[in-house]
Amino acid sequence: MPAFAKPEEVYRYLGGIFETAFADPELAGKLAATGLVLKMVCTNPDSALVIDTPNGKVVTDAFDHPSDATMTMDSEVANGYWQGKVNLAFAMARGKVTVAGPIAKLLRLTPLSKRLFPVYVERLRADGRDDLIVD
Amino acid sequence: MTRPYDEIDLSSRAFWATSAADRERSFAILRADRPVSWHPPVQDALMEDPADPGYWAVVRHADIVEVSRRTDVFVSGQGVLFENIPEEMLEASQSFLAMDPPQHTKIRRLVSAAFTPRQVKRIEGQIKADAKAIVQELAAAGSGVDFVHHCASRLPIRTLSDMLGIPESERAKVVHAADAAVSWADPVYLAGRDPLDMITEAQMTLHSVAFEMADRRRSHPTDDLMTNLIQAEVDGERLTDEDIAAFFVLLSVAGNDTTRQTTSHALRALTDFPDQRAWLLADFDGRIGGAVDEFVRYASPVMTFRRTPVADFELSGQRISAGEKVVMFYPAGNWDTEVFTDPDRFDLSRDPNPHVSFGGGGVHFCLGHQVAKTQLRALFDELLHQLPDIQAGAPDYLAGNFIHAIRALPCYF
Repeated sequence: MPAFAKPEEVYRYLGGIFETAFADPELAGKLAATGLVLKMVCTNPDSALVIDTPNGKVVTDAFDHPSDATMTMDSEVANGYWQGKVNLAFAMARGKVTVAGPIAKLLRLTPLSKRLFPVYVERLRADGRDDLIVD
Repeated sequence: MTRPYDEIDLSSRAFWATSAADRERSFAILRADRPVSWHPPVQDALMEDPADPGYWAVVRHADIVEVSRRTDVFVSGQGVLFENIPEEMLEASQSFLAMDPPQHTKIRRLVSAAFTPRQVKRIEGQIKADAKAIVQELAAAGSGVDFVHHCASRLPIRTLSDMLGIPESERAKVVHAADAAVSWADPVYLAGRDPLDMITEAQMTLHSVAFEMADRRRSHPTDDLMTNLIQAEVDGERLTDEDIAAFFVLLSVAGNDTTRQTTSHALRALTDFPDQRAWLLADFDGRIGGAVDEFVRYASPVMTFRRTPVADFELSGQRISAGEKVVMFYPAGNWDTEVFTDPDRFDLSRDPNPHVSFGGGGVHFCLGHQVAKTQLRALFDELLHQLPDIQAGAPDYLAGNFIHAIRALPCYF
């Protein structure tokens, strides 16, 4: 599966998913209701994003930022997940995604995250990044 | 327009904390007057969904059968549990239970292909040996012990372990995870933990074991079911490791709790109806075949499953719109007096006995029903012959809307 080359790409595309979500009042409200501050750490390339749902903020380069839960994965897995190509439960069992913190809270977010898959794919296409699209 | 909810409560925690007899009083009213009724979402769901408007309750035997068989209208792919659970988990744990044709057909055919006659024979032999050993262990533990812990819970997991060839070193881990996966409704077991956290952790354990086993059997095939699952091929298609891992979780849950609960309920019923026990023992081999169907009807171990219609449909005169949840209440179907005479009576000679405890028919009819019946036959053969005086004490029921569960049941012999 394709992966990102630079942290800036991770921030632009994966961070962008949540920036789009926070701009939608309905989604922003649902995300805020979870009260979750989620850190997404990617390897290859090393990058860290914090999704601060109560404040509707995305923090980039957030390695030292506090969070309630941290998910760590290769950026290739993250790219696949946001296109609906990776099952989180199987990826966790395979050790491809590790979670520190309340897993249940994260799983309760997944119905919301599924609504963002098309947004993500659309953005990649709009930017001419078909190389990142998983078949 | 908001549709009014039925005045009968089927959704509250309080309703599911009452006894089966109390619940039957509500089901009986609905069966007679409002066989398809509209209710608010279930209370205390694993996942709250503020957009969930409620569900249609289906309580008549004939309607349960119709919803089960009309898989062209009532689909499973949008969830089968009364509760809402994350889609990620549905895919990873419910295998073909939560799929629709043609995907369902493919996976179920592949899994069925692994149950070769030779494999079934091997499993039957192991079940008999396990049942004998478990009852011997119960006898050694002595009168007054908890029947659930010392007997009912033991056979399903041993069968599962033997069937799949789970290595000895992994068995305790699998037993623990399988227990956790079915105990999310039990506050005692949860001890303050989030049920979804517990299920996820249990699932991860079961997935990891399945992945490792699949890898090992690929390089070192044996004569167990896991090897057959890897090698199964229908029309050039094979199961992926993910398919196998999801099936493994399904087996650990569906093949575990159902038989355990039926075993406990049956011992209790054999205690309450001594005439039936005497009747069975008068010709055990000739009568146990039909008797286990009554065990399963009377226990009704799975109480609810959901479907979602993909088109508008009229059921017993009620218009149901596409997308609205439909929940089948199996104990209500098993107590339907249109089909069962004197349903409160535990009648081992009941014939015919078209209970819906294995489902109402159609493509989702329980794949494991033969294994379950073999387990019940073998276990009660040993119990009633090794410990002919065995009696059950008062059950400690576990509240919940999915499995008709007995947490503990003292036994005396």
